[in-house]
Amino acid sequence: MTELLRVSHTMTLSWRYGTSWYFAEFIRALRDERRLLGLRCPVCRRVYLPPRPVCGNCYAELREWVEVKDSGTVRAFTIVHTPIIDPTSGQLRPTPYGMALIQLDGSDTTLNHYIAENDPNKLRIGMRARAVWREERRGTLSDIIHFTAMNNEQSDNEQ
Amino acid sequence: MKRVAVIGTGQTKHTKARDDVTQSELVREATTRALADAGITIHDVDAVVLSNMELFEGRALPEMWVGEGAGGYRKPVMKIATGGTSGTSACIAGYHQCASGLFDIVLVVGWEKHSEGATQTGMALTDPLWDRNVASGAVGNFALSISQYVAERGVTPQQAAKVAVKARRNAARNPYAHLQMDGITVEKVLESRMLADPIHLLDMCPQSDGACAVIYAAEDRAPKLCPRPAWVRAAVTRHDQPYIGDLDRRLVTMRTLRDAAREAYQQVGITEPLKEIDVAEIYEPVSYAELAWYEALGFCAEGEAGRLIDDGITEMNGELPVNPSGGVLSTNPVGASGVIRVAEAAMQVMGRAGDHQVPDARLALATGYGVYAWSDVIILSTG
Amino acid sequence: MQPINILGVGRTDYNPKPDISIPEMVHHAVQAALADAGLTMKDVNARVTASADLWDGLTASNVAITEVVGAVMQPEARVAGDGLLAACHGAMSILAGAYNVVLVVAHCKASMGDPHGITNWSYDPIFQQPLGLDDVATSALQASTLSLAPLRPCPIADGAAAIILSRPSSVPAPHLIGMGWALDEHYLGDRDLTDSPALREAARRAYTLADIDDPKRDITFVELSDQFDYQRKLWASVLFGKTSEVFETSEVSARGVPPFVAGLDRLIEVVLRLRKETGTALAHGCWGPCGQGQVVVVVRR
Repeated sequence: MTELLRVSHTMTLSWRYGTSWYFAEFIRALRDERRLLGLRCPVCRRVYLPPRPVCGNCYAELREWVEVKDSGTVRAFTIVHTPIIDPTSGQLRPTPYGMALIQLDGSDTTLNHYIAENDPNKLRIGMRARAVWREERRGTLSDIIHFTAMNNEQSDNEQ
Repeated sequence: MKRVAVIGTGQTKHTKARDDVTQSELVREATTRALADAGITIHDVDAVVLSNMELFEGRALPEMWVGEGAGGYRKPVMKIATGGTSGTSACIAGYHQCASGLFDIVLVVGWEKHSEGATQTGMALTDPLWDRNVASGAVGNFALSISQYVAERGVTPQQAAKVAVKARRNAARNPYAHLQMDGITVEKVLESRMLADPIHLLDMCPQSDGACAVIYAAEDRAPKLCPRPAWVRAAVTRHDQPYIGDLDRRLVTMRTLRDAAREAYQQVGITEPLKEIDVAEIYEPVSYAELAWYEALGFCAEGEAGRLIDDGITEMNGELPVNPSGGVLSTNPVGASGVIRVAEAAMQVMGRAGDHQVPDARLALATGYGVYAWSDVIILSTG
Repeated sequence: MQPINILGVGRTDYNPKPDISIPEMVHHAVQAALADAGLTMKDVNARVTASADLWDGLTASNVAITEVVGAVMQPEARVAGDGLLAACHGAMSILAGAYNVVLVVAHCKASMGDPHGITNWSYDPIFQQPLGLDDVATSALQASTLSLAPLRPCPIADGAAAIILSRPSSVPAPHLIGMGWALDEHYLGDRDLTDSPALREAARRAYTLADIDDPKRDITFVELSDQFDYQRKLWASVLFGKTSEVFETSEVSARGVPPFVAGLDRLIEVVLRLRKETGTALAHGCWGPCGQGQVVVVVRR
């Protein structure tokens, strides 16, 4: 039988994503003031982070900015063992690393970010965590390096 | 408005890589088998609906090239694409096109050729403004939801592993399935490499090359073409908010699936799903999800899913066999996976499921899952 | 077929929009359509959206617009193709008895990406893509077969268009009375590029459903899509013969309409004119290499 052949193509495409007023304001506050902002729905009063134009549950426009703390409660967690490409570096991210969904104080949604812990037995839903920021912020969610568990004293001080 | 039934199905042998065919030929294989199963020719097909997640293979408008494999030459061809639910979305779309009265015979084909794609394209799955800062990955995202489900409903890794075992053992009796592992055990699942806590390699679905086709006929044609057509009784879709952190405990509540099932059951008149449904083909990308969705689909009360799998209720010889085909856990060409659920549910009702036939199956449920929490629910029956 | 009401239409302008997001852009079009129809989102039973992943740089590109089309805990289907095709699907789901009111939305920001790079990926990877083909190159090929003047491509355009369809009611809205769509062969060498059998087939199907047996007599006006300006002459000659006048109203390619939105935009033009004068009109959309995909809709008031 004739040998089967292959044709290869490499995709090199780039896109410029338009971002709108809500992204601009969120990033401005994050980069310039080290503040995190959410948007509150006028109907259900839910605070959304990340911001977006409309509350999907109520179909109501979001306009009211609300300050959200950079610490919160862990609502979900995992330790990732399979290497995948880190979007910020383009390289495989070294494993294992912790990931969590953190409900920042003041927000009703959770933020997906890294958590600095590799032992699943040390992580617990309901534990408190706070953001660890980069020295110099560039204006992306990666300006938060990761979240780290708060000990009781830190937790009490925050509250 | 017309009643519509599935009168034939066809699929390829799903594998890791089909180096011997192009995407168009893969589609043609499934199409040819479906036509034979339905006892019709390509000339009898009035319209075609395609399903595929184009960015996985990097194609811009794949139906342009691949449409011919489904006989789309000078015919009405439409591509429906909604992420993981593409296959079930396309099946619902094809059903609507047939029920509209415009077309008597509609062919739906889903396909995916992961071996022709690059895994980096998976990054385009995430929102460009917010979700491309963190290396989450599909497995990591599932693991996050699972941590909530485990904390609230108390299922164990053993119970999840039983789902994975059930799937691959069932697949061993399905000639088309990708992963067929008759000798798989709970121990083997728990010993397999940890991907993202608590998901082991064998808890997770594969990526497959494959295609699957379903043929619908309107009510005046179906009984003439098929001795035991699978009538569409309900087809319900629910989508949800876009960011992973938006959804309150995705697996725990799974509100889209819950509500879609509620409406579908109401349309058909089902009040006790466990008793009234004879077989279910659930789109389960990870073992834990199937447990969570026993609860969302009302097969059992919340917190009881572990008991359902422990008592063998969803095994082939149980009260409600779930995924006799092996499910997505055994076979996952994403654009086809949803079509496979509908095809397998139809095969059960039509009595054509061969070695994995559930005896006297008259009412079957098929579900689709995609993105973070989109759900489709389809119910087929003999009458 | 049973006529389908077109209750409302809305769209953004089509100027490049580097500073707004796709969800925000679509939100404006949807709000405009709802206002035009005098409806709220609660009145909408289902949505059909149209977009193309490779143009949006996002897999399952409709995930970005779920909230602004009101699809949270609601049905939505997405057509990967022209918005006019999505309108056809919306109409079919109403005829199927599945829904009463359907919102159809199409969007594209052609300014986001590189049209050469993107359209190159729509040609089969084995025989055509390696030639470095893109839509400009193949359109030049087609224009040369027609001995037409050098082509002028559509200006880069960003935008969204939305319409709201419903079961017939006493509201005297323009009605969708016929529709058809078809695909030609993919490999350019298999096609006669001086012709468009897919368009002829799409029109034939639309005329059959609309009970039109003499289109030249019965069609009052026509709104054609085109990615390049030579295409309008080709589509018109396929539809009405080589010696016919081209009697459509707006020069699409001159001002620019985004791909995947163009067909739905043509339907909006038809509706707006039919609200002022009675008649039977044809709206047209096309997508793919040299208009490999064709869709035609007939509207009457």
